[in-house]
Amino acid sequence: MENEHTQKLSRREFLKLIGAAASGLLMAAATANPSFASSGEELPPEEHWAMLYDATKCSGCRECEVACKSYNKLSEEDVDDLSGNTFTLIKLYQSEDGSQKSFRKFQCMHCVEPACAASCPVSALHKIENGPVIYDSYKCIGCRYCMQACAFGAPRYDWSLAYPLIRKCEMCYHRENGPACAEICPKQALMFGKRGDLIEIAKARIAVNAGKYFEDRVYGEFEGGGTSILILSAVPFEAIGLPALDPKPLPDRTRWALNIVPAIFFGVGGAMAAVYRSSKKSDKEAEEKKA
Amino acid sequence: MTSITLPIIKKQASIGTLVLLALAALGAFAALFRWVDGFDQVSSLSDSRPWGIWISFDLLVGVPISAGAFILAATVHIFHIEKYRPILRPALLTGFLGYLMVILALMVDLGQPQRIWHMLIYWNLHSPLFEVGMCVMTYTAVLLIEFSPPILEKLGWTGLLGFLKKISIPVVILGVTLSTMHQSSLGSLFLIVPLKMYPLWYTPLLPLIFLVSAISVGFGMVIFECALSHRFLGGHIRKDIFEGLSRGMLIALSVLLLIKLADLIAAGEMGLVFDGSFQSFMFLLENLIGIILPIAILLTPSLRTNTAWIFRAALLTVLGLILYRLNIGLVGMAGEPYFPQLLEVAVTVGVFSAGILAFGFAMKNLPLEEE
Repeated sequence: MENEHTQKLSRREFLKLIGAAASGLLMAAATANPSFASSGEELPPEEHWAMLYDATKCSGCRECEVACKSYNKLSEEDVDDLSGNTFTLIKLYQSEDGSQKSFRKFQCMHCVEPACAASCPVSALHKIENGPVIYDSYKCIGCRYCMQACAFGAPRYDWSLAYPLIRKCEMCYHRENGPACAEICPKQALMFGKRGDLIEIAKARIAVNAGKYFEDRVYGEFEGGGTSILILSAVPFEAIGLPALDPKPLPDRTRWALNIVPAIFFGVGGAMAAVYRSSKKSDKEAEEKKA
Repeated sequence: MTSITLPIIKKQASIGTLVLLALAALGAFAALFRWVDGFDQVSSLSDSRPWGIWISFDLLVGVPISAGAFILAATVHIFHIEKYRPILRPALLTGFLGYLMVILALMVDLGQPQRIWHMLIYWNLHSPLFEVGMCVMTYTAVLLIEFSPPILEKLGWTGLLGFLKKISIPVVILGVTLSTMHQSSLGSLFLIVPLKMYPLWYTPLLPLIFLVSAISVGFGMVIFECALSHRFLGGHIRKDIFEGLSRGMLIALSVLLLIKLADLIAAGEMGLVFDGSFQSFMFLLENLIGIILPIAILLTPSLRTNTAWIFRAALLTVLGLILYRLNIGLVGMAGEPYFPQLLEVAVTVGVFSAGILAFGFAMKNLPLEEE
């Protein structure tokens, strides 16, 4: 009996152990790849995949560019801007007197409310439940409204082609360990994690280094409704080419106009029908009078 | 009825036709070049200028200059103002051809033109461009129905003709509704670029300004067409029709001027109008030529009953709208300097030449004068 009991206990303990190990594994996986935490439902923005780029830590080694090219199988090219073959790029900004300089990593900002996805007439661009803004190339008609709408110049085109498709960073959403650029960064200038956690980390850095970062804030927390690429910089954000967006999401500026469309449809249609009826009636009356 | 001479140079029709044919052929060659060799070969489009003249002119001008069709359809069929019936069919013809030209130009501009129908299956209700696309597709079908009677008369298909007459009123109402929607939504396209568009042009009122400017130029184009059909078909221009249309244009232009002024004052941007920048110059030019001058002409007692001056006011209105839409699409948009390549312009010119040829052909061969 006693033996059996111990055996039972040990089996229970064994199961417990397995369970603990499994959940531990899951936890580890969740930290490495937040998408595992997703159950297919839309996650709140603080749970979204995100990256924190600290320009003060960046040494401009451009390992991230190489890793991006390699993972996305992009051809080498000599460009000074994002392109159909370059999804991320490190640029050096220098003030005219040379006293201030800073690197800046360019890429898709993976907005919380992306203007590209709102503007795409065929829903080829959309934000998946765990944050990355991705592109279904088979839907795209090539209208380039996304390029026009994006405030960061992220969507790009290969203009040498006769039938180009949009090209941009998709945050390596298929990659097991998250974005290739963040994984390779030797200076930890680029960190991958959940948006909420990264904002906390950014704020902690600001708190510890008072006065080091521009306006003691992180770019992307509120700009344009928030972005998933968060940026810390010692120099003014505008100096490194970050647009001064107010907190109102860009799609909100179009939304009201689209919301009144049904009212226009029924309002104008109804008004026209009413005018038609009354003018027909007065025509008849006029004819009767004539007769 | 008063007969008048219009300020159009009389010339041999055949020479004009040959020139138009040559231009259309050059446009077709440029389009072929783009479809086979790529954008780089024919256009100055770039990542910082994703929309060039094919959008800023062919789409943003092509749609409003076709607005005469819905305005006249409403005037004759809904408001029952029979005076304008003689010019309804030419206006519907211009509208229908105008939309075909827009679609043709889009087939050159789109990166994946073979997928233009994708809008029918992959919807995005958050996109103003989706709304524009759906409305343009549906309205082109509506215009085909509205314009088909002369073709059916010619073919002698009385059965179909009778059916279309029965459903004509709902179709006309649908056409007016769809036009209101997409003429304004064309302006909504730019609501999402508050930082890229120069403040003189960016305003939340873009959809309203686009709609009212489309209505004013709709009247302007019908006046222009009257003059054209007078030239093609001979006969007289009814002065009362001309004056009526010019009054409609005057009202639309006055409303447009008031909206634009109120918007500038409310946004505190009056200073920008006179700051001497290139943008301020283009803004002043657009409003002087397209709004203030035609209003002044149509308010001057000695000019507003003069058919030649009404024609000039209409031309100025059309020119002003072209300037306005080019300012919205190109001058007012941030980006690297853009100047269209020769073949890029050739596409636009070719599409319009083909449209004018088709208009002339239809005017000669279809019974466009209805009783």
